[in-house]
Amino acid sequence: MKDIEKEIEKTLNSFDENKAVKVKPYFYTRLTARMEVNNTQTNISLKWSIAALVLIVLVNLVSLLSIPAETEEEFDPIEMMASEYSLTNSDIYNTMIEE
Amino acid sequence: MKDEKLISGMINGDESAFKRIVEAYQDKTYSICLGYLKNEQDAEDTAQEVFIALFRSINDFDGQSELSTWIYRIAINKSLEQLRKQKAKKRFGFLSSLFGQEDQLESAHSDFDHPGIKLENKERASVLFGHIEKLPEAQRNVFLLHKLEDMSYKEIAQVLNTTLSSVESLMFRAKKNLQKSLKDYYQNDKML
Repeated sequence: MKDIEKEIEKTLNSFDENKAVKVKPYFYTRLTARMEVNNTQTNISLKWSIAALVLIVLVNLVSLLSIPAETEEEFDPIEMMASEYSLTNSDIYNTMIEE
Repeated sequence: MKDEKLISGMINGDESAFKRIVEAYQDKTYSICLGYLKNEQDAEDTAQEVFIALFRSINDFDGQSELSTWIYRIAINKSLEQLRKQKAKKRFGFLSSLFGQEDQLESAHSDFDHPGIKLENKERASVLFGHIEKLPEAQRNVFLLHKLEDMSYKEIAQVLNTTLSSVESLMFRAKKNLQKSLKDYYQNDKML
């Protein structure tokens, strides 16, 4: 039992007197290289996003301009009512001739 | 040059100020990441991420704590984040292996050989690392920072943004838990 307690104590203290760890040489160079790569990638994805947005706007514009707008026929309400009740001028003229 | 001057230099776009900050804190930052991740390449990648985060958020530094405290806090958070990602990957790897895909993930770094540990302590340290992994996160943070990074309780309290008594209590509980799990380990070892 005492042996086990000694073992535990030794294991718990196994980090003692450790020496400071150092990064591998040229850490800063590798760091700045990574930052540049990150920047380039961000720029590229930004450019692609802008290009896609411009393309979508262009497609919309082209489709808007190429499809002719539907022309709504304008109806005169008086003419509509006249034709509905057969009151057009030519009708009256024809009736008079027949008589 | 003092940290305040370096920080204001960085804010003004002075690259040499950033370089000096990196050179001043790179070893300790790397060491903290290595203690958590137990893999030299992962530790270097995470240490780089710490300085990238520092570069991007230097304007947010309010100066209420030391720059070192801030950097080490980022290092701990980034390391814990990396550990969570690794765990999620492991879970996904397990699922892939169930569906017949090859699991390419390395096994846990239980046989990790920390470059800072004295040669005669390496075997015991490897056992200890395995048991530290089982500790709750808060206890693991305090134990690693005190024992491996040689930080005082006061420094740990600042880095973890907690009180001195909380650090003392966490350290006490970490030691108790480790003693218990090491006792089980050595008892089973003796029986084998």
